[in-house]
Amino acid sequence: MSQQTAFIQINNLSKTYGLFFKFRALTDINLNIHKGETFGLIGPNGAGKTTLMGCLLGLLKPSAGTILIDNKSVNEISVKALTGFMPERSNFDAWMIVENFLHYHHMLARQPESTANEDVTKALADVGLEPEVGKRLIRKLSRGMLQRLGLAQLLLGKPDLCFLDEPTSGMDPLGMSLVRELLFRWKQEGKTVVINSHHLDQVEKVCDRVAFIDNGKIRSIEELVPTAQTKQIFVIQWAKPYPNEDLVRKVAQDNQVECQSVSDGSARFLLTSKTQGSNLLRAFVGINTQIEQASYEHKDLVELFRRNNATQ
Amino acid sequence: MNKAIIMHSFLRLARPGTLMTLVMFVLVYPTALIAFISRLPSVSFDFEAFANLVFGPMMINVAAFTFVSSSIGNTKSLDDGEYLALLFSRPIFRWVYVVSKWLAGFALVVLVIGSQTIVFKTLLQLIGRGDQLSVGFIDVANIILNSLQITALVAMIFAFPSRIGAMLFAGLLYLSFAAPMMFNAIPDSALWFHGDLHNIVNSISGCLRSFTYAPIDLDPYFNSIQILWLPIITFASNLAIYIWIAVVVLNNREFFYTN
Repeated sequence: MSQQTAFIQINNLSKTYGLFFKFRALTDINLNIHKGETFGLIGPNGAGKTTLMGCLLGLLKPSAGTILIDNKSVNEISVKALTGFMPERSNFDAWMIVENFLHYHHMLARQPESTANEDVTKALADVGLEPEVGKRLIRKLSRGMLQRLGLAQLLLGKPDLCFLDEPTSGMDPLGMSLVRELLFRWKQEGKTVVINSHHLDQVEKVCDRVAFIDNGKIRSIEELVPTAQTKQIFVIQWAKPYPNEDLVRKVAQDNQVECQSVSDGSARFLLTSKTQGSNLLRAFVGINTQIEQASYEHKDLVELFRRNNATQ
Repeated sequence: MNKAIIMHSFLRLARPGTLMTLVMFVLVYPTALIAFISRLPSVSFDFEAFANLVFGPMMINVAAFTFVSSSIGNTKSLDDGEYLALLFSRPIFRWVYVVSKWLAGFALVVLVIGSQTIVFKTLLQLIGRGDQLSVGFIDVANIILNSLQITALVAMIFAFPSRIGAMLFAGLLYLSFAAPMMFNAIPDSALWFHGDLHNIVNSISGCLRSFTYAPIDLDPYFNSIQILWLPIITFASNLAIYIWIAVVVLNNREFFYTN
């Protein structure tokens, strides 16, 4: 990941609010987000996640440091043209009819007028809103519907870079799975996504990496999806009779894999590449051991979250 | 100029509250005024002053503040304000937003004052006094120019965050009108500092007044040989300064998107 060119480069970013009574919301943030990556911002309330997203969107001005998106300033129109934003609070123009609101955002997003009707209908369908919802006043929509409308207006600009703030807040389980599906689809399409969410299970499922933010600082960055450069723990469990420890360690050594521990018919290996896992499995099958289960050790975000909070 | 922003500004008129105010403005106000006039003997009525109540600068100011003020830079009220954080996450230059809002506001004010004038004229015609209020080319030009100026002033005031904008507006009014009037009421002998203090204060307040409220009247330009340059320069410089300040303010404003 580190060898990739960063799509979003945040260097020494600090943000202070207030003229006389200064409040430091962000301190020395350094972060690179890569093209096609789904990146999560997590942390307790008031940690600075929203401020960071505001700075990334060019809505807040950094007090120090720089942000570059595609090597350009966040305020450049060409950057905004490839950006989509779904705010947490859907304070949309309550007096507008849903379709008119979407047409308005279609125009603001500089999309061709000829495709407006088609794009609006598609956006409504993509977020699971019935066509008749398009004829309703925004003030008549429920919280979950407003969240879906927020997603629909984001889709209209056909963005390559999406910022989502608490996208599933107020949504029913169907809505949540819809957001997850959209995020997976965007990942396949190569869109870069920055997501700010308290739903750790959601983040865990969709994000490639997450940054833990607290008191305006990045406490740690965790990789959730193994990449070519990521070290991952691979766990193999055998059915009886278990292979003996020496044999397990020898097979690991032969395949140039570090064996971390062997106990009670299972072993933990530290892999430096994905191919090592399949090689290891092939080797154990080759010596007639009965593998019951093999998987990457799952990173539990809740546990990581607790650990990060505890270390402060 | 941005077509979407202009269309959105016009659509805002369709909100029930605004629509009701619009009806009051265009229909109820002229009807009430004409009903009052119809009871007056025609000889005792000053139609020059009456025209000012219909399409004079004061009416244009009221229309601009009523229909345009909430449309620019306002993020406070969810129903009335706009979600500017979402808007400015779109590929929109902030100066384009200011100019689009200004021109949309100008068109709205002209539309409102124009409709109101037509209703007045029609009602006057109905009571047989249509000939007593004439609306000529100069009047139309005055409406257009004064609407252009006042909407630019509204754009400037409301480009600030709402509280600062309100303080700025109240401050300008106080310093331009109320304070100097009060000061002029104090006799020279009662002042600690004798000399030209009254003149100095009047000059300063005159400058401020020309910035705060400087309606232009084209009548003298058509009815006299001498061209008065000062009102033209004041008008043009006010327009430029209002819009420039609005753009600078909005360019430097932060939009916390949970507004």
